[in-house]
Amino acid sequence: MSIEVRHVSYIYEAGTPFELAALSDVSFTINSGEFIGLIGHTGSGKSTLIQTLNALLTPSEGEVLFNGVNIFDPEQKANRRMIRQKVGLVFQYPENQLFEMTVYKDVAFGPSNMKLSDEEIRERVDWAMDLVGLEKRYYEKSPFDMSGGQKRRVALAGVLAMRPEVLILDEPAAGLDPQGRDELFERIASLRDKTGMAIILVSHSMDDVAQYVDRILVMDHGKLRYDDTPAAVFRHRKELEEMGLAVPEISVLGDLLRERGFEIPDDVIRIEDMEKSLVDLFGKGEAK
Amino acid sequence: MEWMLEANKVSYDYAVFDENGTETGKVRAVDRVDLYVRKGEFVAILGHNGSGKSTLARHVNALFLPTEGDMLVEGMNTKDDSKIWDIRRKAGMVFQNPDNQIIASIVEEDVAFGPENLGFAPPKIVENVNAGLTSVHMDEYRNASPNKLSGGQKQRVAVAGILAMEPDCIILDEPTAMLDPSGRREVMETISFLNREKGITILYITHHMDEAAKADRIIVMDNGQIVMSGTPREVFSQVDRMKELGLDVPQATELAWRLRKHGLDVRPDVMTMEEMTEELCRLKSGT
Repeated sequence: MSIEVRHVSYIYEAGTPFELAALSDVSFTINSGEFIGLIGHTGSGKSTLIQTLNALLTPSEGEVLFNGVNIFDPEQKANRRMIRQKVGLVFQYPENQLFEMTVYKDVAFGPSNMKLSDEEIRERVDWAMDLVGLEKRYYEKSPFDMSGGQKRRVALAGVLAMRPEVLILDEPAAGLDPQGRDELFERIASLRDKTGMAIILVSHSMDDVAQYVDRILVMDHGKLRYDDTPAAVFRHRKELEEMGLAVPEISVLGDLLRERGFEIPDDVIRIEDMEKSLVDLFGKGEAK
Repeated sequence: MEWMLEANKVSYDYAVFDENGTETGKVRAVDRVDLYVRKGEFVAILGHNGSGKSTLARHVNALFLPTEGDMLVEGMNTKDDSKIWDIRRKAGMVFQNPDNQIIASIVEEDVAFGPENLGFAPPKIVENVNAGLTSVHMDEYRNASPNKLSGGQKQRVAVAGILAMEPDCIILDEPTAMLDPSGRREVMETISFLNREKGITILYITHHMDEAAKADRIIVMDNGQIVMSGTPREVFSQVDRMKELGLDVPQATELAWRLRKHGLDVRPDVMTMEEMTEELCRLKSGT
C-alpha cells in the first residue's frame, strides 16, 4: 500500500478577498506499516491535509495517488468511495459521533454500508472490538452508558471495522488522563504491529510523538517544513519554537547537559534512552 | 486566616436512570471532601478521569450544590439563593473547549457580556473590558472576530471575560487540553501572572504535570476523595503512589526516579530539567 501526495495545494475561498492558502505544494509518500506523527501549530494546515487524504476535500492543485490510482480523477467518482474505506479518519472527541442504540450496531454501521453479508459484518465487529480491547459482553450495552475512555474505543472500533489500510487519528488522547493516554497509545502501536496498517497521529504533545512514532511531518503555514525521523526533526529546536511548537523535554535536558560538557548523543529524545545514556556515563549497573 | 474557599464535608451524588427514565440508584462522585483554600493561593487538582475533580470544581461557583456538607466562597454558602450571583461573580469558571464559551461575534463584546449582565454602569464596563483584555495581552484583538483567533487566544479571551467581572477566584477545568504548545504556554503565563500580580486565587484542573508543578499546592483526587495534598515537590516525589493512582509526574521527576533505581544518587524531588542538570553536574564532580 502507498499513498503519494504530489504537489498538493488547497485554497479556501479562492478568488475572494478572504482567499487563504491552507496547503501549498505539499508532497510526501506513506507506506504500509509506517507510524507517522503529524505536528504543527493551530491553523498550520494539518486538518486540511488529513481531509484531502481521504477525499473529504479536493485539492485546488496537485494529486493524491492511492496505490498509483488518482483518487480525485473526475472520471472515476468510485475512487473516492473506495478511498474513504481505505483511509480511516478518527476525528477529535470521536465519542461525540456515537449514535446507535447498542455498541454492536454502532461498530457495525460502517461495514453495514459496504454491502457485506451479516456473517462478514459480525466477523469485522469481532475483529475490531478485539483490537481495541473491548469484550463481547459490551455488544448489547448502550454506548452512552460507557466511560469516556470506553466510548472512545468504541468509536475507534467503528472506524477499524471498515478494515482501513491507513488510520489517521486527530488528537486521540485529548482529555484522557495519563493512564488512559498510555493505554490508548500502546494499543495504537500494537495495531500497527498486528495489521501492518499505516498510522498517522496528529498531536500537540511532542513527548507523545517522540515516544511512539518513527517519522514526523511538520506543517507550518500550509507548507511541509520537515519530513524526517523524530531525532532529526527535534534537532531543529529553534525553528520549531518559532513555529509555535516545541521539542520533547528530554531533548531540552540533552541540550542543557551538552552545554555542561556531558557526552549525550543529540538523538536522545525518549526517557528510556536518556536513562540508558546517563547510566552508561556514570557506569552504574542494571536497575535494582 | 481568611479563606477564599471552604469545603466542609462536601459530598455529591449523581442519580442513575434506566432507559425508561426511572431513577435506579445513586453514584457518589464527591465523598466528604474537606478543602480550605487561602486567598491568593494557586491550587492544582489532579486525578484520573472520573475521580471527581470536575464535579468538585463545579461546586465552587454553585453550578452544583452539595448533596451533603457545605461549600463556602468568601464565607458565603452556595446553598444560600440570595448569594448565588455574588458567588458567581467572585468565582469564575473557564472550561476545556474554547469554542463552547464564546458567544459574541467581536472580542470586546464577548468580554463585556459578563459585566453587562451584572448590571455594571457603562463606563465601568468599558473600563473592566479594557483592563481584562490588557491583563491577558489581547488588546490589539479587541475588534477581531473570535473565530479567527487561535485556541490559546480564545482561552485568554474567556479569561478576560471573567476578569471583567472582578473575580477573586478563577477555576479552570483543563483549559489547555485542546491547545498547541504555544497556546499552552500563553495560557499558563496568563494564569501565573494573574495569580502573582493580581492576587487572584486559582483552582486549576489539569492532566499536564508540568503545569501542576507551577502551583503552590497540589491536591490529588481518587474515588471522590482527596488522597494526597502538598507542595508539588512533596506530591511528585512520591512517584510510585502517583503511578498507582493512574497519574504521571513531571519528566524530570520520573527520570530521577529511574536513575535512583540504578543507584545514582540524584535528589528524588527534582521537578525541572534545569534542576536535573544541576544534580547531574553535582554527581559528576563528585561533591
